Amino acid sequence: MDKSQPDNPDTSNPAAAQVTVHIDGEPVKLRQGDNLLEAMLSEKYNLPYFCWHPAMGSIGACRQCAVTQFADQEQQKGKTIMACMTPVSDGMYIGLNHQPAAEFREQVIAAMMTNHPHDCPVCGEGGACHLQDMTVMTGHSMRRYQGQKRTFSNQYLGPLINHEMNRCITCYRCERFYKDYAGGNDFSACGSKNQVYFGRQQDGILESEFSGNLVEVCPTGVFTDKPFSAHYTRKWDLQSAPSVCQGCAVGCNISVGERYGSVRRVVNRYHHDINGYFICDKGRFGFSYVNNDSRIETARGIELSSEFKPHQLAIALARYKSADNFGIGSERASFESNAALKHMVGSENFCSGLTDYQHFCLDIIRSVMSAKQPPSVNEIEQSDCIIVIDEDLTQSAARIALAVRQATRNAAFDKAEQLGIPRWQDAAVRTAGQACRSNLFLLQSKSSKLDDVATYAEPLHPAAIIKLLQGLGNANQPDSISDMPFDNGLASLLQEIKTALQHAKRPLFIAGCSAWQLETLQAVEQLALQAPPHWQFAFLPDAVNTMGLASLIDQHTMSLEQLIAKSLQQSTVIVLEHSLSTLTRAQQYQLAEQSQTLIVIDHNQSLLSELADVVLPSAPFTESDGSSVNYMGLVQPFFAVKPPNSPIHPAWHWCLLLDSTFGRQNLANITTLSQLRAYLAEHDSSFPDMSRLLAEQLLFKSARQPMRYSGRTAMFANQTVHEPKSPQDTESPFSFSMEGAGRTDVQGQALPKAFSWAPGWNSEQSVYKYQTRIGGRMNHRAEAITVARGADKNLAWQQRKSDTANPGVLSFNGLLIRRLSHLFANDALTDDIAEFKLLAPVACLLVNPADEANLAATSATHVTLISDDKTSMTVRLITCDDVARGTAYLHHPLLNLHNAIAQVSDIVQASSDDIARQQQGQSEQLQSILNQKSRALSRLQKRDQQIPIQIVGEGR
Amino acid sequence: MTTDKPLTQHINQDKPLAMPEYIDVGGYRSVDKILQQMSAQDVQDVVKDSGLKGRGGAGFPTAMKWSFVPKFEDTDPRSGDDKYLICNADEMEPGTFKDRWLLEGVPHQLIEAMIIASYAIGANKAFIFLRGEYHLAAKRLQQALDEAYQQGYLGDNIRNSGYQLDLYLHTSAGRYICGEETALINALEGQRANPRAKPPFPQVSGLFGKPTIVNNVETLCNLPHIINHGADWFKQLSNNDDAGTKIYSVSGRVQRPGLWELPMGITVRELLYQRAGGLSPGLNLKGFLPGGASTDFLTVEHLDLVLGYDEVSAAGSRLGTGGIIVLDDQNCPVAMVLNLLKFFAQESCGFCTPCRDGTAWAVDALTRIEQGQGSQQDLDNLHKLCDFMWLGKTHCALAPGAVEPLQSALKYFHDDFEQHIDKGCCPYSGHH
Repeated sequence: MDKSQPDNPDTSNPAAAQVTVHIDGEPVKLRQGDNLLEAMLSEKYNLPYFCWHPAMGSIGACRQCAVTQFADQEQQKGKTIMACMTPVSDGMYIGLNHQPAAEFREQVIAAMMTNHPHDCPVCGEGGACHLQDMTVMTGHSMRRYQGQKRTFSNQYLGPLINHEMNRCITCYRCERFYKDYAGGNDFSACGSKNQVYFGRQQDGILESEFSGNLVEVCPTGVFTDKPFSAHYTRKWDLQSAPSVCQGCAVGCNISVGERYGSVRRVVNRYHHDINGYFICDKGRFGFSYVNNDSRIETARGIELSSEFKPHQLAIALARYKSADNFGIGSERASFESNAALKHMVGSENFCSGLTDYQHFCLDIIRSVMSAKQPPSVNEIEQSDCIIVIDEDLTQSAARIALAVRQATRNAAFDKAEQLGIPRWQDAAVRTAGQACRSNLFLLQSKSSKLDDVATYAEPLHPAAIIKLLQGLGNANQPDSISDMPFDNGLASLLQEIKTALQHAKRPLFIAGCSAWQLETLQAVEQLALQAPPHWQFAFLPDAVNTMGLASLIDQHTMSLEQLIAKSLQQSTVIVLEHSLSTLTRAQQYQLAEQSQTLIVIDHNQSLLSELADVVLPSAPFTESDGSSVNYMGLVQPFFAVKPPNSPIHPAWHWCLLLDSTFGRQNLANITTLSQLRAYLAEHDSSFPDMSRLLAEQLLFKSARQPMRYSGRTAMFANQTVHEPKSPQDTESPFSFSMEGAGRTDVQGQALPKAFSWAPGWNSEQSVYKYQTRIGGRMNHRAEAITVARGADKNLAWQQRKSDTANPGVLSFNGLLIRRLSHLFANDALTDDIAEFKLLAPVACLLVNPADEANLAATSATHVTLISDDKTSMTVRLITCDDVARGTAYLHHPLLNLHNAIAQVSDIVQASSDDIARQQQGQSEQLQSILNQKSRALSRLQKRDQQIPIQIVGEGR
Repeated sequence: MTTDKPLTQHINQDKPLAMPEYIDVGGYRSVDKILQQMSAQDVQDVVKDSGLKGRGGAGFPTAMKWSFVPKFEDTDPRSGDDKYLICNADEMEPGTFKDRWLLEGVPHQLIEAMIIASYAIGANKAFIFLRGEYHLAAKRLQQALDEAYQQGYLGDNIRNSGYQLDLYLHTSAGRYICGEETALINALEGQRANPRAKPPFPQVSGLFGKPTIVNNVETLCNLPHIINHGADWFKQLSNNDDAGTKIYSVSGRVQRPGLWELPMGITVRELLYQRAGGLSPGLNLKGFLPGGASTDFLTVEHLDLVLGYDEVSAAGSRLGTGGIIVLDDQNCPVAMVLNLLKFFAQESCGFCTPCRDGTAWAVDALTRIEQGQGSQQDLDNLHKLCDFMWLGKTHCALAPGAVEPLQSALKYFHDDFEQHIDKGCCPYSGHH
């Protein structure tokens, strides 16, 4: 057998036989073997359901999807069956609107309503509630039950999720998602009869990184979005836009909702290849920096009115004009902003904003991407043997970790298939599969949340991981791998991995960049370049647009070190949405002092923006159109949910505006994003032609506001009955209004959905109306554009490879000290999110008990890390076996602001003063988080009251 | 020597036979017989010929159930997979106490039987899933198990045959639903005791996903005698087409409540009047549940009904466990049904909507009617609920089991319900 030919990983399996099923007398082609519910929904029938979920399959609990099955065309009576539990077979006769089945469906709702409270008016789910929709659909409108309703106490589940158990209809979806799908173990169904309780053993913060999905998985208002509830609006009063999560390099598709100028919530936006039906909590709750006090809302360092003209800006900036102009790009700025900056200052003056070391690592990633097309998240789920290399996926790219968890089930699916159990029979597959799992080798230095499904998860020293990778590369040579000082049994582990790889049809290696470990990445590269064709490789860079930035890097592009080394006395340095946290504090000061002018374009404050001569307020992703490039090299556009308030502009627009003063005047006549894109596509070989993606869509505007945007006429009615004019959007295919081409015509369907809604389907469940089939692609799907994959890349940096040590890690007494990766404390922007600060770990240093002696702090509770510049960090010392011998993991909030780890010169036992100060600081910080949270909330609420007055008063 | 009471001939409720005594009266002879003379298929064939049907309530042919366990060629890697036998001793059906008698009175008989069944299906591990409240049975079974291990009837290489069987006693935490075989399996695995969706049936994917047979205590206890005396002997024990004997029991206000091992297919009249001595003085028969709480009421007109699986079904009820519960004319049928429905609502696992919310709704309506606050709407709701919770619409048979006494009471005792509503009180109050 030719092992080099991977099987078709497409789960949608279009080849499955289509058979004829008669539904209410009409012959319909359905896919054989599907369950009848998903097959009928795929044909856009309205059949109510609760417990079934497109990603989680059937269990047959709610009995809502009942239909009648007849033996033949003649039979009148038939029998009631559950569509979700019935496989489609040829020649079935099904009655959907058959009276007994319809009555039964109504009765199911009636039964649920015996306990469901009549609190829709005060329920956060109201108006987007699947239970409401299904109730209306079944026609249940009259209460027949006269007894009392059961009541429960609710639990405190942390700062992200509200719990209101009285509303529960016991569909078991929450438990199945949280425990079975996402692997959480602090949540379950408790009790029995009509007192089943879904929650934790006791009050406490939900531990799963995917807890936010409960909000969407729950068909009613038991689990609701807590930050959204605190500053609430109905779904029909939200203005929404399709967007892309900025939290990591996966690029999950999201829908952002806004009202009265503040962003209220984020929900999942289905994408077949990437996030499917689920996003992580960073994606759902990690947007609130855009509403924060730390937003930069006015220009600093220049006199500028809010409604300035371009020439006024040029005049204001004239005094900063200098001999040379340099631009520093950013991994989190949009593709267009980076490209605009590069073309403004010229490629010789463009600095990537990355360190030398990051450049070396990115070169490797691009080299592997040229040879191996990175798999999508959906393809990762199809893999039957995964090797994760030195990366805690749950903490750096959580959605990938969720996919890896699903991939480990493939062995169980195979086993169930042998027994004739279809894969949608969720409980039966789990019963048949038991602990049968596909191979997952976690080659990591610290335990992670995937350990429970892993074949191998013992912490290994990074050097041992490299050795294993090298061993895997030597396919033909005998295994001559020797043990490492700290790690034994490497030879047998190597053998085990090799055997697993031999049997695997779709093996996959996943490596990440949170450690930026060059030697590891080199070893993966070597492996990848000589690997059989069916081996897949996925690299996860650490930021949303790292690959977009990487594709703009050419032989002229400078690293941060190269830029700093220059004499900048006569230079203006323009920093694009970057806090330069990879530099030390001293380097940041040095840059500000040395450069003649430091201009920072950013949306939130940072140390750098404080040091800057000029600060220009940019629009975050919620107020600006643009695109980002995910780990696969996929270019994904995102759209502003509201226009920015002047003088805030998208960063790419600032680049256009600065061009006349600091640029090469190439961008002089460009004013819009589409013009910029056209220019870039023409003048930059690394910038793709996006017109295919967007041009046709611009012809037909689609609405950002739903049909029931009731506030439109009511919200200002106490002051004026005249409707304010809605802002114009000339850039995107979306209007800031209810107006737009119909969502159901062909052109309307070509657009991504600003929000998910279909007649009769007000909740997010409505997405199925816009899928080609259940779990399939969206029917709007435009052609995918990828960059950073081509083999024509000039790998200029390869030649400049040096012996530079990784500046992000510290070697101390034989200990390799790295940053602790944590989903809610990974980057500077998470610092601006109160909920995340509450969820972030305490400042700590994790070491293996055997290494405690190396710290000269045996039995200390705290250690102090002293830096060259006499600053210090006091952290709790935690000894645990979770960390490999010879490694240690450091977490301290300072690490998000600058490269504090590189400057550590000594680690000593913390003095009692240090400890007291640290603890004092911690509790003060906690208090300030809570204060800041309530302050921000009351500011937003106050503004809600003022906005109508402002709008009416100023007449705009 | 043969007997017409094979199951109960050696029962001693005060002091069950210890291993040597049990062997002296012919115990474990069947084990030696199958190990020395019969293949697994032979055992299955004899049991098939005997016509033995499951005594747990459904009356499904035992050998046919066994035959669904997949058989693999020796070359198939799955042929070495574990298979399991489970004895369902979670006897919680209201009005049913026959298994308890067998478990406490002659525990070795069950162990002997389980060796036969395990051998027949090729299982090397077997479990007794015992009702948690059966403390005495647990003690006696464990003692018998210890003896059987000591005497080499359990464990490795049983009686030098090369056959190995480990038998474990598991005491339940106490849920009626664990009597449903897949809920039992979930409980045994340490999961919530929710029934599983079928298919797949446990014979294919049961305990820990492996082929599993679950048989009732009384069903299993017939096996040694079928092996010893043959299929024809077993068939001639009965009065009707159902082979063998049946342990019938009677509870309620009769002269002599109790249980008796009788030929399959005796009449209700014989059981109620000859064995149980008829109703207590001053009382008349109003109706009865023929086979435990989850069967339809029958009435005086069914006294000459033959108590066989098909016969009772034809009369609109089920033989069930054979545990008759008598309703006399001084007891309120509404109160009785309410009591039963409270039990079923309490024991619902909470998985599917009709059962979880329907049984509780029925309790609410029945309570109101019994308390004299009921209305015609409550009665309508009860009729609707009977249809709502019927077979095929629920996840398992618990709710349909709850419907059976309710729907038949609504049919046979309709006037009593109406009177409660019309009079605004329970007409029986004061007579209880």
